[in-house]
Amino acid sequence: MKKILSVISKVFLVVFTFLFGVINVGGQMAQANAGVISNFLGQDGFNMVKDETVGADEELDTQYYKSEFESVKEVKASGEAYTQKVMEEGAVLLKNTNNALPLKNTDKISLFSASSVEPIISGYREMREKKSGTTNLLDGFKEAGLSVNEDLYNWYKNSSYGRQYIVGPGLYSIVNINEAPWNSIPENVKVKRGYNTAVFVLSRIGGEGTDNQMFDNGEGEPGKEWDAYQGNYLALSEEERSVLKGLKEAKDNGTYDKVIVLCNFTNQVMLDFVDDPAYGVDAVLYSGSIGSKGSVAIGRILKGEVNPSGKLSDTFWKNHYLNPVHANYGQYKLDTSNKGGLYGYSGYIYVDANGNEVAASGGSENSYVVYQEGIYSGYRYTETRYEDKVMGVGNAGKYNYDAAVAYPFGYGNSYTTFEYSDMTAVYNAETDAYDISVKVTNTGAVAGKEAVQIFLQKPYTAHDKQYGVETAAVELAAYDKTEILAPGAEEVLTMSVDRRDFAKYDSYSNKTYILEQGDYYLVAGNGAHEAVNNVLAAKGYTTADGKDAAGNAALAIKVGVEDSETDKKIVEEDLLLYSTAEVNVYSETDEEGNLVGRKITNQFDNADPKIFENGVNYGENAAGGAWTYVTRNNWAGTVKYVVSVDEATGVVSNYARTNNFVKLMKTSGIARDLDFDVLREEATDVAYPKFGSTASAWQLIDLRVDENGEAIPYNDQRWEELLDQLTWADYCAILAGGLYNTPDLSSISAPSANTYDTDLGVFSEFGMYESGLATKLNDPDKNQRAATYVDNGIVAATRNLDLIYEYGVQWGEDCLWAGFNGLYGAGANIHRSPYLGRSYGYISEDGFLSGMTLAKMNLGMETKGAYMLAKHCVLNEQETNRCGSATWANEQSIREIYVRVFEIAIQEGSLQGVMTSLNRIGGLPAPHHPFLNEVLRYECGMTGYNVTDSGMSYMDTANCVYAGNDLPINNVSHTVPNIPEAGYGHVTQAARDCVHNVLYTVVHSSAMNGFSSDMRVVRFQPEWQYFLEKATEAINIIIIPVVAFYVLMEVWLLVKRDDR
Amino acid sequence: MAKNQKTSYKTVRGIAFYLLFPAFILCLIAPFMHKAGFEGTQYFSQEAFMLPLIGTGVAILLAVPKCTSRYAGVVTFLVGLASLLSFANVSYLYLSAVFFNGMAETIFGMFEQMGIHYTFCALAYLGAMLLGIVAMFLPATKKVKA
Repeated sequence: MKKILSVISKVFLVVFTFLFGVINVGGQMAQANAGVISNFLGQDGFNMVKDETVGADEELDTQYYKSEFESVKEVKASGEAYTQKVMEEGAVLLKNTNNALPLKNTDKISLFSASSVEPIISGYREMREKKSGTTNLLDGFKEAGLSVNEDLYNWYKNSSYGRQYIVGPGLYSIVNINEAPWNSIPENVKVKRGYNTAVFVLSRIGGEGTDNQMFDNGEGEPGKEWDAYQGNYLALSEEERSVLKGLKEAKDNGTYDKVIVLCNFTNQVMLDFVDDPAYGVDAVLYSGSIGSKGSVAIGRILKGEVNPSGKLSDTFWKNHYLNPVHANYGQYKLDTSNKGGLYGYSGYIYVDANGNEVAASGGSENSYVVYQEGIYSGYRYTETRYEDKVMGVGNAGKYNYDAAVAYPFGYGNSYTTFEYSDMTAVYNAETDAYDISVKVTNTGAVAGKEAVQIFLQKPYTAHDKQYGVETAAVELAAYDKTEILAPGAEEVLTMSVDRRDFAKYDSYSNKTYILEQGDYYLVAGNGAHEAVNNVLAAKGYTTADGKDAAGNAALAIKVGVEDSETDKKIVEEDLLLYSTAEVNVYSETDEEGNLVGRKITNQFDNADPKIFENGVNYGENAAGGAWTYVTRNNWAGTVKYVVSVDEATGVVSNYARTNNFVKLMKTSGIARDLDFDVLREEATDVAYPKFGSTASAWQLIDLRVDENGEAIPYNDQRWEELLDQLTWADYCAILAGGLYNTPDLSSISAPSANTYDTDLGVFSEFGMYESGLATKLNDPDKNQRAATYVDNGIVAATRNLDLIYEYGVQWGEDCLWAGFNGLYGAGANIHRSPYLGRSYGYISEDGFLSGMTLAKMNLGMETKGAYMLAKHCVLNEQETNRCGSATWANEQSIREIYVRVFEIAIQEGSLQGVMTSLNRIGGLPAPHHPFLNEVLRYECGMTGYNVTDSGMSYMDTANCVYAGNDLPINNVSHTVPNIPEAGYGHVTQAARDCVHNVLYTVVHSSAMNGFSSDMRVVRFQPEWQYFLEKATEAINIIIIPVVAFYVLMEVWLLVKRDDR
Repeated sequence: MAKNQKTSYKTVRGIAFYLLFPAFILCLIAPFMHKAGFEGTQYFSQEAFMLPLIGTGVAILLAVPKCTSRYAGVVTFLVGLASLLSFANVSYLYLSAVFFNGMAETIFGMFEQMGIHYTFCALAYLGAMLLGIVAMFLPATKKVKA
């Protein structure tokens, strides 16, 4: 008996001690992350209660943002319809020969490749979470009225071929292509009577956390050997080549009439094969990731019901080895000692003065990447070097455009032909812009739309050459799209280009934007290459000079820069210095209350190794000389490649990675920035802000609109009064964390705003939050997920700003129904390389195109009360080592390409805020970098809040707040310091601004739906917290008798043993 | 034959005693793995480092004398539990960072994501706790004929 009791006492002890420990310790962890858990469980933690003592306008409609739809079914159908609409206008016809497209009524399709049964619909995280609910290629083509060889389709489906994860899927994934070779496909399925059209689906997947591979890294294990050609995931594998060669043979023997390649990737595969007669490809259609209903759109395009009208958002390369970006991109080597965890592969490692790698002290601060190409990425490189080659300047060397580029940026074909004519460009002094007009005529036999793109060429002057102000041959400056034009019909499109956009950034001499005297060209063309050829024609160059096309001089209008009375300018010789101080007034007033501007000057000196610490760095005194940024003043001397490749032919002589990357010394200045702490280094006696004022009693809703219904401006006096009311505890509550929501604040009845983390719109269930319409209306379909949206590059490829705006409205509708008030998204980083894993979520290699796309999407979203926090700001163009790796680049490229996305989205689309990036900018973590205030707020006029990406150990709240990153998302060290401690006035003042930014964003969002001046936010304890507290009380009581029971049993056993 | 002759017994170690050896080893190595992987970051604390070392010392002191070795199992269980909870409390946000954007689909993939240091510490403390539980229900000593 006593043995039984002894066992029972031990069992009780184990069970209840375990529960005691888990509930108490786990409970502490849960309370520290209460907001996160409440969000996850959909328990808001606050109620809206009417205060009967306050009078309010009973007639006021407090549903400030409404849906156009009545049910989840309707809103989801609308989202799916938009994926089809956007694909119909965004898919790009790259090649169409031998009358391959559109298909004839008698044409029937055989879909080839393992990816035909598992096409890329999104990034791999989204694909993993949405395993159903999208229309595959078979069903989409059939819905479009096409006949598809189902025997072949089913063979692929039942085979073991198809994407194979060597590592992952997950945060860190490496994928094998695992294509079925031609000879493995049974004859009776690959050849079927009547099925005369072969569509080869060429897919590559990408996703967050991992870039695509260019080199074999030895990851393969038996049975999962790396099958990419020379280790390059973005090259055709041998098996894929065998299929295309097999189809060519089949065409030659009459089995197939045509071979079409469907480019179902956002990570662009090298297109060195499309014009190779060995493969016999007749047509190429680019679709990117296809989303919910993109397959139907593709079917309709192939069938000819829709005339494709998309224009590429990126340069499509024939040969990625000829892209100079890759000499300084992604991973350097496999770090087997640090595989997994957060850091995976090594990036580039700092060196000492002798060029030896600095021993890693752990963590990410030892790795970096240098944007050595400067502004010359994508078409800025390919077209500028081409122009200089034709003109015989800049030491263009053996550069061969045709070896590098398959299809240029902005290019897109059609089933009809269009003629541009009557182009004019006239300066408008009233708007300080150039008004451009182009007539577009459909000269073909099929109705269709045409997107007209206007490029701008700026002069490359003596000043530029002397001071390293680089100048691209052309830059996209404006675009618009016609309506559907019937054969013979015409339409005149008018666009404008601000004179402000004629400026360039001078990083080293004037350290501001400059507007130079000289010849500018505004030019129209079907892509950047045609535009350059048109400019060259206007300058008198012909094919005899090496041009690959004659060009049309009539479409390149030469303009000069006119003086304007609105300039604040200094004229020096042939140079106008253009200060935009008067344009960028924000948040500062002088003693008379006048708004005053801030002069635009360098903000990224710490990120340019050529400026930081006077540019002293590795190689300065070495025989080989220091590295330089790529310059068009000396192409051959500055462009580097990642492998040994012949520029003239593209032939690779050695696939081993070269050492052409930039080596940086870890100087004391870099070390300082890596360890910079505003608390330690900039303590001042700045006065603390006012707290707890009772002079006013504003509630947040009172600051939404004024008595005329106009939005109350950010710098209105009422905001100062409301902020004066708040206490330090209120600050701490608001700035406590921003993981998927902003905290609520009952003292001013500020509700919590929910945000959803995404690159491509909402893809959660509609019933995720109680505040969503799907839950409020108890919609029977609330467990349905929203549509899967196509990749953002295809959205931009439509070049249809009205459609993009509507697309944004649709995203806003999804937010209303799911209960989200904002998005951590869309993706705003630049396609610096096709190997970027997250390409599907970003838009383009061009900052202007990316910014305009985001601007329109955000304007659409805002109509439904949803705000966008575009991500990731800034210089996060690779997944490799994104956590903490330093990005080094010059100010000109940062401003003109990478920050430009955000600048345009703010100024043209009222973007409210950003999610800062995980990387460092120079040595400073992005959320610690002062450009957030100096550039995004003071120069560009942003008024909303910034949030960190996943909090890392190298970020802390005080430094974030001080720089202008308002909310730490989670996991960030250092809470904002306590008010009584002197010397933190500078951080506390910054905290006040952060609270202002958060509240300003929330008050202009759908989080305010239902609020009038008599509604109050009352916090209540969420159910999970209540149960946790009760469980803790219970276990803390129960454990006492359990321990006592065990002790008593042990004592009893001891006594009994002694007695014996 | 002498009817009153007594049989003498001696006390020897029981299986529970030997089960505790690997638990002690795990609890002595894990803190140093924790330190190696996370010192200097917010995922490390001196308390989480010292607790298993001190606790294991106490457990060893109890295990060695045969008269107290029966209590070493429960102490080892408590040390394992406390170390696991203390480690989790200081480092759980590391998991939120690692898994913030997705988990691998396989267990081994997840372990790879977490890294060797974190994985070892978590499994070591869990293992020590389980070994302590088993040792609690088995004899630490037994009497055999001398």
